[in-house]
Amino acid sequence: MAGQASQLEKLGEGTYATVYKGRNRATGTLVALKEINLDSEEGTPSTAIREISLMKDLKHNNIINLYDVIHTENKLTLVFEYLDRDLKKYMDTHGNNGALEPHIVKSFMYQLLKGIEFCHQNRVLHRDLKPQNLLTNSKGELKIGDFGLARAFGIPVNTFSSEVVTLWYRAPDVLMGSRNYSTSIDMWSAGCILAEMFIGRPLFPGGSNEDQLMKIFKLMGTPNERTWPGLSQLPNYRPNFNMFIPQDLRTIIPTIDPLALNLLNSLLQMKPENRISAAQALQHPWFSEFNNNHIGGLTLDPISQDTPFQQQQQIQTQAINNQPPPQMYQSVPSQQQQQQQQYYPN
Amino acid sequence: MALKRRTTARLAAAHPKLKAMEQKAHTNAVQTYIPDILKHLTELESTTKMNPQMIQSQPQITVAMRPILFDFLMDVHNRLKLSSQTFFLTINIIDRYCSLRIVRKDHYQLLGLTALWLASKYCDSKNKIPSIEFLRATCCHCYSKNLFVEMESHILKSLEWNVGSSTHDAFIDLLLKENALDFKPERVNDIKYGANYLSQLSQFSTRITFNYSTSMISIASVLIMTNSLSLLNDNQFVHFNTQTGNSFKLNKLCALILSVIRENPLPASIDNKFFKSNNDNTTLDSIVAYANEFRSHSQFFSPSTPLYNTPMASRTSSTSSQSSNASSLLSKSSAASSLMTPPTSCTASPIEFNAGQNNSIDQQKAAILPLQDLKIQCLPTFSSNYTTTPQHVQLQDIERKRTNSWGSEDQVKRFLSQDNLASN
Repeated sequence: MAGQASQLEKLGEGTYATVYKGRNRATGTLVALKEINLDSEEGTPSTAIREISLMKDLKHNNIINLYDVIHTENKLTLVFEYLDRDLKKYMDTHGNNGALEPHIVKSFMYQLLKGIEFCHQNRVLHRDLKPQNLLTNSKGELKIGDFGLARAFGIPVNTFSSEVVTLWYRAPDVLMGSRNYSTSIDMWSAGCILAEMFIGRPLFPGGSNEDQLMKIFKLMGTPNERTWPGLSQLPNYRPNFNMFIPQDLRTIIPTIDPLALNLLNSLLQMKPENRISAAQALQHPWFSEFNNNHIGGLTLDPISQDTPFQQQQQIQTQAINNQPPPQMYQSVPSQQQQQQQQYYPN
Repeated sequence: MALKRRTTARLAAAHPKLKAMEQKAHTNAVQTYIPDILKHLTELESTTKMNPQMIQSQPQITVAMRPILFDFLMDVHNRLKLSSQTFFLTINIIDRYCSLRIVRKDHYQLLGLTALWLASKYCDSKNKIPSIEFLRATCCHCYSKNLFVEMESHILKSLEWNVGSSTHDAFIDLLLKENALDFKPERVNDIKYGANYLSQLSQFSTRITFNYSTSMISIASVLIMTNSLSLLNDNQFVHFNTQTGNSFKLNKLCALILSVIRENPLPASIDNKFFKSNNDNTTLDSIVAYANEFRSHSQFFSPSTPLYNTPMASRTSSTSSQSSNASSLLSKSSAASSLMTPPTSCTASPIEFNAGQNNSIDQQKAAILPLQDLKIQCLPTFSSNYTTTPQHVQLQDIERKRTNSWGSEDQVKRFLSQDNLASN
């Protein structure tokens, strides 16, 4: 580790990397070290190139911070911000049979959507959103991690493998063989995660591509040319799909409140065009307590210490006065002010 | 069997109707983020710029070697059927590396191939990324495996791992999505194809790439292509300076690209890719027709008229005076940079340049459609007419970064958008 960080324990092992817990020798802060072995045949893996290049741009509260890259001859170590546990483990330890309290679900979902929105604004598709890739800490913060499958999009992303996103969180259009997909695939995953936080287990735990589609159809209804024009053009379309009628999601999530149900339904739209975007989802009335400025009912528990309320108020008053916030003015003080300063030092 | 299934699936996925459907889905999904993505791309553009002075001061490699290397890389790129984004990124990586490090003459080709390798790792799907063996074969095994790996890690370290860059194809795609330009929707694909061709061709000319930014070249390519197609299909010549929002630099760039088209022979690889393997070249041939038409127009009228946008009064007098050729004026472009101050009164009326043709008023109106609507005023190098706007954007950025704690960001955005409306 070239003396910068000391390695503690192994946290996990992925397909192309091993993750260790580490400690920064200088500051003592905990870090996550992702070690990638370099292949002399194929050089640096494309996943590493994309992950590093993309994450260097993505600095956001709800996205894991990449601190440093240590590049040696046969090993590449990425130094990430360390968070206690992933969402899956959090649900297992804190939840009631895995199910979380509604206000925690809301807070996590809001943070997840914030992170996704930032990715999409910076034209990054994550493509592998699942509870195992969302990290939480004791402050109740949630951050998106593992950008190993992420990529930048400008034009529609065109892959020749539909092998993106872990099966359970894969959107129906991708399962049906659509290869040009877009921001909407991350939104389907977000919907699956929202439901999972409510019920404590995966919403569509399919065993294979076919099984996955059937599980989705059973709950959301089998799509047809009328509900999804152009469906029959998709490569994996079969005319003899079992027909199912859409179910009310309340049958599996009885405790869900109507607003959350509405959001979940907008996220779990079969047709990609109909799926709500992250930016739209953040404006959803379910999140009104995070979005509105009114004083009552602003309980951001468990992330209360980060309440942006004061800032909001500040900005709001400035907006009313139609003046830019003070930070925008860092210019030379006017002559009058200078004179005043002379008269009244401090 | 598996292979067969994959091929049929691929054929099905390539179905035009399906493609159009997916394209529509993508457009819908991305529509919300277009301003954000455009802003991100322009920011990225400014951080991933090359430095022409540094490239020109390289001790061993010369500017004349560039087109030769690019031609070779384009050939390799064609053979591998990589995406056009890969080609743009390859050149961006080479240029950025050459702006930072001294490159040995015998390593120039190695640099090019490694940049292509890196770019394809970044942009293309896994099964298209070339192996080291393939790359070695393209250069007659003159570099060893280790050299490639070493070069790769050296490039990555030099660029501090910032591989991604804003490429021409991304700008072109966004410009066409904005729909602010006046073009017929059914021509989108032709415009995209042609603009991509023009941008790729522009990479071979140092006169273009050393003086103009990626976004400028993309805008110019789209403009030229739009006008070429309307010349081809509607038989109407629309001068690009009616659409450039009186940006002097953009006018000059368009004229420069057209003069390159008219005068320079095509690089062999471009010729192979776009013309030899293709029977139907009407789209790209229309550019040449447009270039010639443009030339005859600029000869007929005083060349200073389209280029300098002189006010009416002085223009009428200049038509009678001795006028030099537009292209000769352009060849002095770098020397004339001191003249590049745009006029304060921008009253160029399209009727001046279309005098020979009977243009209806409606059409002129469409043609005047200012580029402001494209929201490209945030492009840093776009036009000095808009000097106030980029500053404004920068302030926004700073502001947004400062109040990045969640919850307040939307407030800031809403507030800023109000502010924007007021200033516009």
